[in-house]
Amino acid sequence: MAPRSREAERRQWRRLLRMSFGRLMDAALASREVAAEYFVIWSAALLLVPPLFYAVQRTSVYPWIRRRSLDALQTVALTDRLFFVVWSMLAAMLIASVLWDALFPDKTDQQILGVLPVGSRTVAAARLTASLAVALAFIIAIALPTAVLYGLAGSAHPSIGTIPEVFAGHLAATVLSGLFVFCALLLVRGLLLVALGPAAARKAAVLLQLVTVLLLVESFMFLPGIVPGLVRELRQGNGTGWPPAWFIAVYSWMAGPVIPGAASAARSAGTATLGAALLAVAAYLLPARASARRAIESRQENRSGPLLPSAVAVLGRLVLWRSTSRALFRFTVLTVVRNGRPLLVVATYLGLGLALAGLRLTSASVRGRPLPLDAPYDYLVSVPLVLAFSLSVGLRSAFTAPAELPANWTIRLTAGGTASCANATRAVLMTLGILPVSLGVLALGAWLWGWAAAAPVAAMHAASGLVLCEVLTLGCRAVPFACARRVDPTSLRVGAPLSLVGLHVFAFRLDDLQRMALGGSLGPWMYVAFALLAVAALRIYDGWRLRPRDLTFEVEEDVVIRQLGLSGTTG
Amino acid sequence: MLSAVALSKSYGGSLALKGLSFTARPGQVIGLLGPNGSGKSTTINMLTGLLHPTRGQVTWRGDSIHDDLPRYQLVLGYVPEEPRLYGYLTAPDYLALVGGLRDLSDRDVERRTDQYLELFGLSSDRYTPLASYSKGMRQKVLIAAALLHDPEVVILDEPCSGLDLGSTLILRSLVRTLAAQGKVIVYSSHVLDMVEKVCSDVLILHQGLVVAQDSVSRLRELSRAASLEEVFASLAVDADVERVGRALADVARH
Repeated sequence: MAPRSREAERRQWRRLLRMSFGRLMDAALASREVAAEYFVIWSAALLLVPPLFYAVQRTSVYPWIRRRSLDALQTVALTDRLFFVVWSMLAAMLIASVLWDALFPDKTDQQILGVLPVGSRTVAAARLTASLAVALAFIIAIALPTAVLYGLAGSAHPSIGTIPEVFAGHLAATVLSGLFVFCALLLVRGLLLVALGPAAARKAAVLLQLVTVLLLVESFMFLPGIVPGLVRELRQGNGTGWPPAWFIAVYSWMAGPVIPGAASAARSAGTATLGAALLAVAAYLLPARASARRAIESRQENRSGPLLPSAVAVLGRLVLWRSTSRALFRFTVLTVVRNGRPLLVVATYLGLGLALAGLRLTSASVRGRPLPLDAPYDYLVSVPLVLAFSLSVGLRSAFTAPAELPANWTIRLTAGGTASCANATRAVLMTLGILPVSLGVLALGAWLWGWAAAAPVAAMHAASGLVLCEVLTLGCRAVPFACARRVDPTSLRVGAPLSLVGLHVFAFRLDDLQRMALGGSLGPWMYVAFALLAVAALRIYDGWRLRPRDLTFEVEEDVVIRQLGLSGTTG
Repeated sequence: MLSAVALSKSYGGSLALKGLSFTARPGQVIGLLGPNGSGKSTTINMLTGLLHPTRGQVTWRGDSIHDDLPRYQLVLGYVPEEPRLYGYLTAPDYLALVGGLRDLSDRDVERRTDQYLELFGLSSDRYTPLASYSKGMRQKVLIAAALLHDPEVVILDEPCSGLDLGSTLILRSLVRTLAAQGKVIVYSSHVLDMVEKVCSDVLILHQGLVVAQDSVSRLRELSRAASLEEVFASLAVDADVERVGRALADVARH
């Protein structure tokens, strides 16, 4: 057989590249039914808002600062630039964690592409190019508007650059820093996959998602506070081993001000970005053939032990009476644990929760208190409430993304009524979202304050969680992971503010109530009794509202028909 | 007794099925035959309740199945044409889901699951996710899921798809035994030999219309054909198969 020509490979690469963009969108969206344009617009907008807001705010600051000393002006300029660079790096982290699942070949890919005369490396190269292009597009979409605005604001003095210099420096530093992080993370994931296998790489994705969100929130809240100290170090020529400093050096090299060691640090930025990109390319292209083979031979690797299903079955028997509810409970828990995508969603919310919990503790200590831990103070009570809220809302959000739409006929043919569905959903939220945190409160509280003080706090937390689960499942007519979904911009606009109000009430108002209840010996148990009454009232209201009790699949019938492959043309 | 009464279905003005009627009694195996696009899958999906007919109705024991669909679905076992399953679940997980949703006790589901996996030779793969199963293995899981609750109506859409010869012979025996137990069986397939051997009556669909409906032997008699394949070819195959076959082989050569 004649060897494939370079030109033929290039043609294959171009065709595969177009296909790879669709696959990246699928991976990012978690469902083929979500409109890609909404996803792109909303995610870019969400990532763009904080730096844009910051840039707009700086337009009013610079005219005022330029009247002060040149030194102060340069410090402010470096501070702002550090914020933009770090934000770009964090945004790239988030993009990497969303996209990287689509970079590796799976079994279906191999069954389709493996029989065609296409080299595994050509496929891997097309995917890598597509992911780099998508990441670059996102990074530039975030960098460009801020470069324009900040270019106008931040060129207040020749020593910190003219408008074109600041614009170019801003673009170069933020785009390079984002690309560096994106490529470095792809490299880490690629190496993990080669060294430890797909399971470890998947777990790393969940962890990265959590850390990214945590860092995003914390950096937005804390960067303005800690950046001046870092800038002082930079101006003295220290801290150039720190990656953001390399990219600040690029900025300074292009627009000023002069920083000691900036030239070599800027070289480090270029070398690091180029090195990370080349190594990422190598990490994906060199083992491409082995990765493809492993995707086909993955059968034994994927074996799962009996422990998890057995534990879930026992748990289901403990918390649910009806077998239909237990079946849905088991299905939902196994989907959360094994499907991969739901964990990414939950990790995002948990990261947000951890960040907010951190902020709550920090705000308590900022008020001058050294954070005493000897009693259940309000800030200690609110932290588990924040975590339970973020976990439960994250789970509820994950439930709305269908796991495997073509397999839904099973549920449609056999599912019980809405009562079974709602019971199972509540039980999963309680088991995975509330109880682990309540048990954590009990264990940690017993260690800090003794069992007698910890038990009421844990009981109040669990009772609050019961109410939250009830609220989150109001009107629940959809089996988790079994319904088609579309992104409705209205729900995005309305849902996010509602979640914030819910968080405020649940985590930052109930802690006051719990503190009040802890004031008397009967208080905690009255709190629990009121919570149970609220649960009963909500249950009655929901039961009355949900008649007739039909499960919904959330889309018009013709769409459901298409998804289930029931069109008349099939036979 | 399962009946289809003047069933018609159209998709956006295009008629997929027109005026199909039949009655299946306990112990009867109704074969559903037809070329691609003839309306077989549409019929099957209406018999399972997944699709609503545009006109006509499906009745079970005299009542429309849509009057109380969950009650009908409790007595229905269904093997779909495509083995679409939740790939991240194992076979016991999937059977536990189906059994639980059909209100079976956990103990019954576990016992029956063990037996089905043993009989289908899947015991050693009980902890393997379904995504790693071959098509035939998944088909076996679907057959087990369809029979798990001892249904009164069994609808099989291409059940032999992906099965090896041994499993196909087992399936043939299974269908006969189920019929002998008094279940209503609807069997849709392109494998005419299998249909000829297991079905008591056959419906042949062509372009959404019923072109023949009788017992296999009577259809052979009427068409003066030696086999069901000949009957089918005379009623539902429009193309000159030899000419098209030769043309297909030549397409890429010129």
